[in-house]
Amino acid sequence: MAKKYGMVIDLKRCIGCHTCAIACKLENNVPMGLFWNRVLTRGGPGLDIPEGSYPYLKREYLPVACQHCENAPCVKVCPVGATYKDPDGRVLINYDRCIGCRYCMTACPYNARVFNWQEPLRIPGHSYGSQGVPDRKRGVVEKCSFCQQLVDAGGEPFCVTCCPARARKFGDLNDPESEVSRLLRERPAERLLEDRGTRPQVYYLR
Amino acid sequence: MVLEKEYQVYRNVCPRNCFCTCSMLSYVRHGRLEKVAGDPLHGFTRGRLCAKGYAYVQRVYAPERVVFPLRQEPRGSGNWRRISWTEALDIIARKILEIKGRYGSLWPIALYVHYGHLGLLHLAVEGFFDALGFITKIQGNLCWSAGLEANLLDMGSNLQPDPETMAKARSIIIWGANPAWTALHQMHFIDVARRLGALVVVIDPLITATAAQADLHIQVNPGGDGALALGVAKYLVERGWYEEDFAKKYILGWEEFRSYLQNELKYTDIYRVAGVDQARIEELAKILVEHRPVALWKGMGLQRYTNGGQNIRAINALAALAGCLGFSGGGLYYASLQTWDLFNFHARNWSPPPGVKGEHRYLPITRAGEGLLAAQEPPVKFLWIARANPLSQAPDPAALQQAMSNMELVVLVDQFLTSTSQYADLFLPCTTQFEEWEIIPSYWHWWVAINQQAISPVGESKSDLEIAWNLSARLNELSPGSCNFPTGGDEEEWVAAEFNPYVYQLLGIKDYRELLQGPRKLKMPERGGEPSFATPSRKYELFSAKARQAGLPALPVLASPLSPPPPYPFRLLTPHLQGGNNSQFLNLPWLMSGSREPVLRVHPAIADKLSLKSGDLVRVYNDRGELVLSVLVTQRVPPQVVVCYQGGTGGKINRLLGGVETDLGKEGAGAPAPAYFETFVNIARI
Repeated sequence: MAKKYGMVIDLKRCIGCHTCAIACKLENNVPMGLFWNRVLTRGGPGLDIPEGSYPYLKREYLPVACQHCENAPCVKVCPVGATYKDPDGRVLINYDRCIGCRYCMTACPYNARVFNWQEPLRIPGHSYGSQGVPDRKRGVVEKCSFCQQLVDAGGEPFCVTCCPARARKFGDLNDPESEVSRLLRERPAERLLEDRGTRPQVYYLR
Repeated sequence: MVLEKEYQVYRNVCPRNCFCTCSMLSYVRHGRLEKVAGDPLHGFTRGRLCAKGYAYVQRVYAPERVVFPLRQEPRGSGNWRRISWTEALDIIARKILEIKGRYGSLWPIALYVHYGHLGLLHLAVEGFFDALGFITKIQGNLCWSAGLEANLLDMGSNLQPDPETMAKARSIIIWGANPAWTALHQMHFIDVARRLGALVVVIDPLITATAAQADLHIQVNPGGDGALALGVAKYLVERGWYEEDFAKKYILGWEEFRSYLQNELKYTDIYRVAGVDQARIEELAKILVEHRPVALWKGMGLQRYTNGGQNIRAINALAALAGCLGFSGGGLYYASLQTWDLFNFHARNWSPPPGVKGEHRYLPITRAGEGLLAAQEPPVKFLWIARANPLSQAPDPAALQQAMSNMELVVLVDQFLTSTSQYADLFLPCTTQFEEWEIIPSYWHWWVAINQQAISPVGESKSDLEIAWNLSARLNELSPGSCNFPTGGDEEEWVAAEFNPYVYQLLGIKDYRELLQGPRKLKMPERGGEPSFATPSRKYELFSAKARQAGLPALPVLASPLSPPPPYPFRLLTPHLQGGNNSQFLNLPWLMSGSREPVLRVHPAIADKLSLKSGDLVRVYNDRGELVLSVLVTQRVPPQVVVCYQGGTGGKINRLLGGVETDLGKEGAGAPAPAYFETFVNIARI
């Protein structure tokens, strides 16, 4: 059976440390001004604002990157087939094909994609992160690949490795023995904006 | 880790002033650092860093990093020009010798060091000056002094259990600490305990990220922590819910303290100072009794008050009564130097040239500026600052700035132009941990890792150790025998020189090079069995004669923090920021992206009263100064408190600090620390 890679993020464990956001930037050579992975705060307009009113306050974090949707709107709208669903169930981008029309950014309800409006600027000036991350030029859209360079070599996405709270799990949703499948059997999970019918492969446990 | 074959992989250690002292792997290709990762062989950090850790690649190669010696003429102008190391060292060496000749003393030479880097080899700065002679030293620590001394008074030591064992506690009381931001990797052990059924209680005036995860958050008044502890102790004693056998056998002053709790201390005073009600006191008391073992972690926030030492002593007393000192599971945590003290301090311990007699002149760090200005016979003319950014982080930066303006030469060793560099003459660029050898113990966990050089120094950067060697060499060329510090060497050999047979035994190795295969955990002596204390009475000292000698109550009695004076009704708290470590990292775009810092956090009730909304600018002022900040309206702060995270204003916020000190600290760190959280301000909309 083909693989269907997915991720399960335990929001009970997430402590909003932003480690995954920075580690992702490092691993994937993401240029200045862009993030593939962000940590939002639920319930308030800013990172600092809890939900509710004292003493009934709640602070909960929501890490968001590409949801690798099963029914991915970005794949459907791409006029050149640059964004595609790969055989292992990931949504990936062929950066050489991307023409920068940004239809996919409009179609994505998760705001997971970012665009190189200018020549990518990197500080440090050299490329960083792991070998095997594809180059992106000015005028292309980019986003999370579930760290394809690591996963295809037998590893796991860097955000999973680095999470100090152990909130992230990665694996094959088609494999009933995988940790992600087990977690989804054992605990109620939800996906973001389920009503859009995108069927994300990133699940959140609450 | 995959893909290792494409890189040279080295072991490094994050040297920042932080609980975690993470072990890192650095990935180098073509001589460049391309990636960092956590070291999976490190049992405390277990292959993970924090956001700041993963941003090191940016920090090492940041365009703002200074990688050549610079000279600023005139001081304060911003007119920096590149000079050679030869020229820089020559200026310094000649100035030192000229001052020595002019005054016949080295007291005009002052040294200001702090903990921007925790490495043992970086203590070569102190070693160098000790090898030169007797100088003026800024003494003390800006952070943990009151707590360290309180622990010394009560227990005679700053020992604490292995923090990994916190995972076995049945309740964890995090009192005035925010590990989700400042001790990230401890959160894993807390989480493990929690999943096994432990209760997590956070006691903090602010709704921190740690409080957000807790089962119970007690929003204590700022500085009212000791009052809360005494209230719970009183309740336990009234119910008879305490360890009577332990108290009788191992506690000095138990009867006096019990009498104080039962007969003198009134709950009404506790409610007023602590800002909590009886229900909360009972809830906490029940947790201490019913969910044992208890791990009780005293953070550093609650000791940054004029009653900070008393706060810690009161919590210690509660822990002693409740049986959570750490002899039978659980335990009392603060910070510890027990792993630190094992090393040789080879880089630090140097003596002056033979025949040079005298003693150092010490100025307390809380009043460094004043002290430097007031020092006479002889006055201070030369200042060396390393591992520190005092014009951002120290109290009374205005006085320090004036003192620096009066110097004949100010030398700063750093990696970036900082608030402090504005008033320096010479900037000496130092290496990051990736460019040097080091050994960096932790003041929290028991792991020891080695830091090897992974890349060549960027630009012309030198380690603090190499700077000391080179300067000693120049001094001895100009005036043979003037400095006893070695004039050269091999950094790795100096790492080796920090080890001794006892450390090797505790690490279970025979040679420091075995650490290149992975970090090792110190097998610290067991603390089980008969409780013992290193106090004069060999008991836990609720009644401390030493405290009385210091002019403080012998018992940990109720002590209030300062109250706001009428013109300045808001207490200004300046805790640590998530994206930085004191003033470090705040210049990195990766970490500061999207941050609105510095902002002033204000409670909605106050914002309503002053017609403020988020984004409005306010004047934050008191009789010491003022600054303008943007407001963020949030319920994370209580109404009587405003919060601006420290480090982000380049020292402007420190100009408002109250000029008061913690009650304890002299024994703990040489001098009391600033009572940072006893600062009161008013705010006005612009």
